[in-house]
Amino acid sequence: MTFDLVLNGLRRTVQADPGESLMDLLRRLGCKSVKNGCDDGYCGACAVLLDGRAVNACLVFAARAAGHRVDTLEGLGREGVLHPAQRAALDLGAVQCGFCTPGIVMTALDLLAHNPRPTEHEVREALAGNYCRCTGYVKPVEAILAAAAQMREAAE
Amino acid sequence: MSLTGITAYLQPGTLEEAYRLLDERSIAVGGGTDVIRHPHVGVTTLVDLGALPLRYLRHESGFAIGATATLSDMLEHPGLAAHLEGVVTEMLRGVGSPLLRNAATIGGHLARGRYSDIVPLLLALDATLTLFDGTERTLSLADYYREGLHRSRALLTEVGLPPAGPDTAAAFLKFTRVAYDFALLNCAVRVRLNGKGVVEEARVVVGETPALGAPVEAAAQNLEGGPLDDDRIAAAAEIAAAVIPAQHDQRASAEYRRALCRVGVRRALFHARGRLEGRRL
Repeated sequence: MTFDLVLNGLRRTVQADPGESLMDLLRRLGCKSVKNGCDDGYCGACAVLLDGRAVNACLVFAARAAGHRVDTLEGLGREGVLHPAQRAALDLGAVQCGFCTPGIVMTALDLLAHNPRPTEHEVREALAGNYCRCTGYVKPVEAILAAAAQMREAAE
Repeated sequence: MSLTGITAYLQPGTLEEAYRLLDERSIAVGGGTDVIRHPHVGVTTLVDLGALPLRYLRHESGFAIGATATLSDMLEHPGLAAHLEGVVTEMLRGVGSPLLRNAATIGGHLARGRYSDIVPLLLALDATLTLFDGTERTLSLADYYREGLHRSRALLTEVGLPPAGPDTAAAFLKFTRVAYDFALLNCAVRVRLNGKGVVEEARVVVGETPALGAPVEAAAQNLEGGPLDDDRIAAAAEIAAAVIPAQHDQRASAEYRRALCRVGVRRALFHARGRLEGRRL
């Protein structure tokens, strides 16, 4: 089947199998930040924004995105300028092997869009569906709090 | 997890069309999070309900929740967060992860009819459902499962929560090993007192026994007609522990589930009583 979606701000016409997951479609389209960790909705490594909300791309049918907005890590930042959530992850060492990082950053963007001033507890709750098998949870939480502060400053 | 063997993905724009498209070769898709995880023998068509105007949450005297409202839509609704000390939103915070709740719909969850913290609480709150099978009708959530309608073609369109007065309190709790795992056992209770502190109406629901949550009528009846004191609460919990259809599975033994039930029902009733007392302060 063929349909249109807005991927990282650009309208695209794509072909997908009717039973295909959004994760498999996005990876075919070259968005390799969308990681296939478990393909079962547990790990959150494939998290993307669907109409601004973070979802497990492995548990959403690709066709559901027809006529909707999908954002992946590839759409963040501009040439040479990282998004504050990426910058903070880099600066604060929130990346060990890096596999879970794109999913964590996309999940954080959903959180910060709805709650610009989260507490540490709220950040931890937001990350409940994002596994880091290096078990490095402290640094990502710190990075998200730092990114939140920076984004608030930029918005003022 | 891409599904194989699917030849069509349809997004009907009306209920009538959606209902017409459902047959033994097709399956309705709410958020898709459950449908996509399981192979469906003989199913070649997915009928996505996402284009239907069913994603809403209205706060009238009670609540009217459209079937394609996501669990996050419910969790983030200020009116629902204020209803009965936030018993519904507090329960939802422990269901799945935020990523799952952003996609999973209330209709899809209820139609799936297994592994649920939501069902016991909605049963305790006397939730109603609106179904469409050519015509529209409303029935209780309890009857929906009793009649096995979650396995039928009937489309679930709306969940209704009745209003609750100041003399009503509810509580939910679950026992679980790790965050967002399925519960080993869960309990939901609701009590309504009259002006003299006598229990006029009670609901005790126990789920993940491991069967889907079901009302424990003997326990509720035992609470009705007397004060909500420690002895009567303990007696109701004993009855619940004795009569629930506890079974052994990979998560817990039947014996352990009965022990959890005894503690869970007691704590939930204490919690509901505390909420009623809290309102008088």
